[in-house]
Amino acid sequence: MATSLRYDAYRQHSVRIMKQSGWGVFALALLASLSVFLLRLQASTDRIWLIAESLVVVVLCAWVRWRWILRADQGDATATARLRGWTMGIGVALILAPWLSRWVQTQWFGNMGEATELVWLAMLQMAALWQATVATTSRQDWLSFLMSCFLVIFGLATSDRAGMVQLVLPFAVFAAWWLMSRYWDSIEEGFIASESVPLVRVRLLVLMVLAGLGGLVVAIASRNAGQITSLSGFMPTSGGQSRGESWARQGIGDGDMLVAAKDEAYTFGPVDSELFMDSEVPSMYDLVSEIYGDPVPRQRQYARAISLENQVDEAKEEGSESKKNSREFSAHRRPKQGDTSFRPKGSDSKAVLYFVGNAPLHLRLESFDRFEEGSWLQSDSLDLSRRAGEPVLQELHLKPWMVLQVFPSELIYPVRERIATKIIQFQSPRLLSPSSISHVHIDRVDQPDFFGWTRDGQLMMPNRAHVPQLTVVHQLYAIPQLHPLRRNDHPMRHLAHQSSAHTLPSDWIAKYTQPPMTAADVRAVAQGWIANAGVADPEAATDWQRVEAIVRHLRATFEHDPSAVPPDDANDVIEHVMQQQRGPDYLIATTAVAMIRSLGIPCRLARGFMVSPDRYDRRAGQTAVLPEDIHTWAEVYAHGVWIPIEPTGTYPEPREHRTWQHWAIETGWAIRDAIRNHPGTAAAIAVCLMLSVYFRQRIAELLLGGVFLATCLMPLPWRILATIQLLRWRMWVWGESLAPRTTIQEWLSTQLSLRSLAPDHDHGVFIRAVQRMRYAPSSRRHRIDEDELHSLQRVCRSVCWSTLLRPLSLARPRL
Amino acid sequence: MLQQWLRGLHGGLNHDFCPGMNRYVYWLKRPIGWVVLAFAMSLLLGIYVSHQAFLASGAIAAIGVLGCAWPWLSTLALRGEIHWGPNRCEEGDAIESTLTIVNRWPFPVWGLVVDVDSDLSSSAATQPLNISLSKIPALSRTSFRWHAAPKSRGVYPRRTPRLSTAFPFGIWSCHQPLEVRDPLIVWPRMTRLTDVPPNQGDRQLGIGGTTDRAGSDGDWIGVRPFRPGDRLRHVHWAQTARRDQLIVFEHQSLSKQTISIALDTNAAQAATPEQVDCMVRILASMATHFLAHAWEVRIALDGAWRPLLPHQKHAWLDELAQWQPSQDGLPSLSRRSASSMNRSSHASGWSMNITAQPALSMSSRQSIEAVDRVDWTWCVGEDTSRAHGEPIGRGFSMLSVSESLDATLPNVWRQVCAMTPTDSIRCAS
Repeated sequence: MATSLRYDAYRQHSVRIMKQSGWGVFALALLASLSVFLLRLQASTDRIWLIAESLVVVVLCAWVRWRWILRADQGDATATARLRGWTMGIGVALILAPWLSRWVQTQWFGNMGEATELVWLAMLQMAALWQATVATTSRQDWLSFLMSCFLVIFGLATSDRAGMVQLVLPFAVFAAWWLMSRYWDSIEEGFIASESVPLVRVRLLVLMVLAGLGGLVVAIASRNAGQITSLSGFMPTSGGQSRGESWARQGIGDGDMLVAAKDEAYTFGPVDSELFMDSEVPSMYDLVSEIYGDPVPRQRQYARAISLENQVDEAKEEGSESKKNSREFSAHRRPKQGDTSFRPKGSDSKAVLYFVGNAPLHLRLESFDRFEEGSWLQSDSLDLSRRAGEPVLQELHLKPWMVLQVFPSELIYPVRERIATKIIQFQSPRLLSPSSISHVHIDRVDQPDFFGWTRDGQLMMPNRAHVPQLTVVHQLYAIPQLHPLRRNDHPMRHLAHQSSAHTLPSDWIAKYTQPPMTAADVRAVAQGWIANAGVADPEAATDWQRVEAIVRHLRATFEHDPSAVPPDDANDVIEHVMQQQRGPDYLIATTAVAMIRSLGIPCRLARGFMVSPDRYDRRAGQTAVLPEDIHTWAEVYAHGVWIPIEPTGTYPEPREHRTWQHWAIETGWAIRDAIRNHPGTAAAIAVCLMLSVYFRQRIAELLLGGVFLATCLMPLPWRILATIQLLRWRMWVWGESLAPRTTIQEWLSTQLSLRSLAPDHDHGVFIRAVQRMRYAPSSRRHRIDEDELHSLQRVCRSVCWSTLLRPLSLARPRL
Repeated sequence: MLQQWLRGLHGGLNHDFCPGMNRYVYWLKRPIGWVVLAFAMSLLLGIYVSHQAFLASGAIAAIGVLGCAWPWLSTLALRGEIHWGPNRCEEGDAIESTLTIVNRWPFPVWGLVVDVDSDLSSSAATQPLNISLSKIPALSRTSFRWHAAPKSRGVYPRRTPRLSTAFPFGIWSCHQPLEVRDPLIVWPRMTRLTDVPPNQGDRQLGIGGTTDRAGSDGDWIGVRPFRPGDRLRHVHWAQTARRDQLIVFEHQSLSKQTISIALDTNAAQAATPEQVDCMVRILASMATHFLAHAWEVRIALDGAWRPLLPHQKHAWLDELAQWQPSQDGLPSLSRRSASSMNRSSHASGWSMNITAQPALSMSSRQSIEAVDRVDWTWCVGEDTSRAHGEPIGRGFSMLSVSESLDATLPNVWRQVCAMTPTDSIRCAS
């Protein structure tokens, strides 16, 4: 039990100074007199006279207090009576001094003197000052204090001088200090010694505080990640201030360094750069062709027919338009050879768009529901735009926002995140958005009919060829929380048979569950993966757990290789990918969709951009999205929400909101599964942990010894100090307490006898050297004699080596 | 002239012109009253004179709020317990008091005052002072120890001890009651007496003092021939060898004598508290002294006789510690106690009377003598001129409250015991 005996003499001494010297109340009276002096100075006709008068009074009072009051012999009754008479006489003279002063000025010098009320106030000032001068008892102190307070308040109320306001603060601080000293003086005579035992170990307390602070930071950061990263208005360069700031990233003063489209387009002001005037803006079709390569021409099986020239031309036109309008996506492609990095024509910038918000994020542009003959298509019979409601205008923070859709609360975290996309070089009427977008806002756009839905359920700007360049689209989106989908007892555990008012019609869901035509038995393979994925009970697993098992297997075993495309003559790309276990992301996603659909779970292919956090520009506070970020993934339909899944292992998984309870439960189950799957390793780790806990002191002592080996390279005085520190830490490691009032000699004698192998003579030399270093004058503090040198080195060496060797001995290394 | 004028001024300034209003304005005498008043005045000045006065209002309000909230918060998480080393002691004994305070705040608490009876905060060598605690560390259990010497008998604490603080400004004080594990019982001071009157007891008892009657205890007083039943270890072998027959030692025998001590309740009612305390001290001193010498002791408090048993020492001393003269009118207590003494005393017993009224004592003594004998009367008086600490007559001693019993009582008692039993004991009869 660590006890500490303390008697706070130093604190009493520091507080007692003012009381013993008796100048506290006098100083307050001086400050109060200064306030009256400022009042009189403001209205005085002869300032020199006033200053001289005030100086004489102050010097007289200070001298009287120092010479007569504080140094007076209280035991001498005659002297005390004489002193009382003098103080009374001088006090009356001082109180009358302002009136006499005015009389002298007006009668002898012809001045106007001071106003009558000021004379009365000055007389009160003199009374307060003299009261403070002769105060020796507590009551006199209080009376003087109250008079001083009155003078200051009166002076503050009747003067408009700035100096008066500046006087109040030191007076208030000093008055508070005086009150504290009064109270402390009244109780300090009765102080008694104490012994204290901490209720909570200091180390534990520090850990708890740190853990609490860490938890707080994590909680705040998780809820307000956007604000944490930007700290808008907090840092000078974050902008938002009223002043101009060259390096500001936003706000009123930005723009000096962010010259529009100088190198890259950071800002969206009026731009006259030729970069934006004659550049060719790519569409999704162009980007896909550039990045993924051209599709392999399909060998169509034409029926025998009479060729009609006009009809053939129409079919060609339809096919081309279908591709360009993103209604068809061939999964059978031929990658381009050589440099595949996309270079937009007429521009130095590679950015397709800029993104503000939390990355990584899947920004979807289009989706496909039907897979036929190696191509993904959008069915005409599925028109998700009819299911989505019309956007509704809502004002948020004085800005027009469009409310797009409402999601089931069980699957969505109620706090939405905000993102912004800034389209630079991209041509599409569709808006890039996350799957669960709920609100959209474009500055000064307050008409809901500016927004609409495509047939595949993507937000778009209807009646436009494409979204205008440099448009900043603000969006709010919800983060899925998938814990209900993993619970066996939750009504949402089934994804295959969803039926409610908010979900799609069953015949539509049936189309999303129609497995692609492939020769591979994807269902059997999928069930095999689920069985081997570590799921405790594959039969009792929920649909989402099956999806996760498939995704986990694909991410772990299928290698992302953009060049590993099927040969041109391959008819079944899914079978090829499953055999090779490698391929580009769109083929892995296709395989994932096929396997998930084989289990009867609605799923579709999604394409868009993957916002990579690697491209985050800290200075600009935004992330560039390049053509190389084009990406294809899958989405699972779960009770009204399309939830993105990422089967390609090189891409990060989509975000999911987990409460700490979810995290704890899932971690617990993961640990249980790991222990079941690797019992030997778990047992070994447990044994190691137990041994570590049991031998924690020895391990800590070994580590200390290793660290302190470096002290061998230090000069000897430093080694001595390090040795003392090492002895202290070894005591701390073994939980030994230092008895109160232990001298350094007693402590070192005990410690060296326990923890040093050097002879006793060397111990004595070491103790003397330490005492000299602590208590000797600075000139002799570090002087080490020749005959002491070897003894000191032996002790330092011995303590260090014993730290290393004692823990290895079988005996308990402490007495 | 000046002095007279000043005295008049002082009297005028300190005269209470409206005593009836004091109950409404006495709060102004406290610092918090000044703070409230100053705040109100500065507020009025700020509203009607100049807005700058609001600055003073803010400063005063800050001091007021801090000065009230800090003590309140500080005492909120403090729990204290007070206990004493042995929880019984005599008047004037130094006893270790321990105050244990648990601070559950994560910050220290400064400037506490322990509000206890003045007898518990002062030792014999020091004047009473406030016991103050400079600091209670955060999240700690802190023990404070001091030595107190209660000067008067009784059960302590007489009022609930409190832990109070007005830190930092002393303008508002908050309290927290302290728990008392066991009360401290302070017995009357018992003067150590050395002399004991000769044992005239005729009751043969298993315990008691030794007399020179033949028995088997104490010292040997002679020899006699062996009788069947004598123990062999009592054989005087030298005499046996000389007389050629078994000779054994003749030993003393044990006997017990009775003493009855009456405390004059009637006199105690009219006596000062100091006299009552002194009377109780004499009673306790005599009782313990005779009990230590194996006498059978009976005392009369409030007119009722009761035996004192050695193994019940704590019980009757606890009672003496709390005893106060009854305020009910009792009929002629001296006579009553004497008559009851007469009824219950043994023929061989001693009797003592402790009173505080010499005149009454003398008259009552005569009346008592008429019905029974009182061997000695102790009178505790305030008049120091008559109290010499010596017997002023046969069977009567006068003691003064202004003198320490430890100094006077042993001397007087030695003189009493030095008198022959016939002279000393039978003088009043």
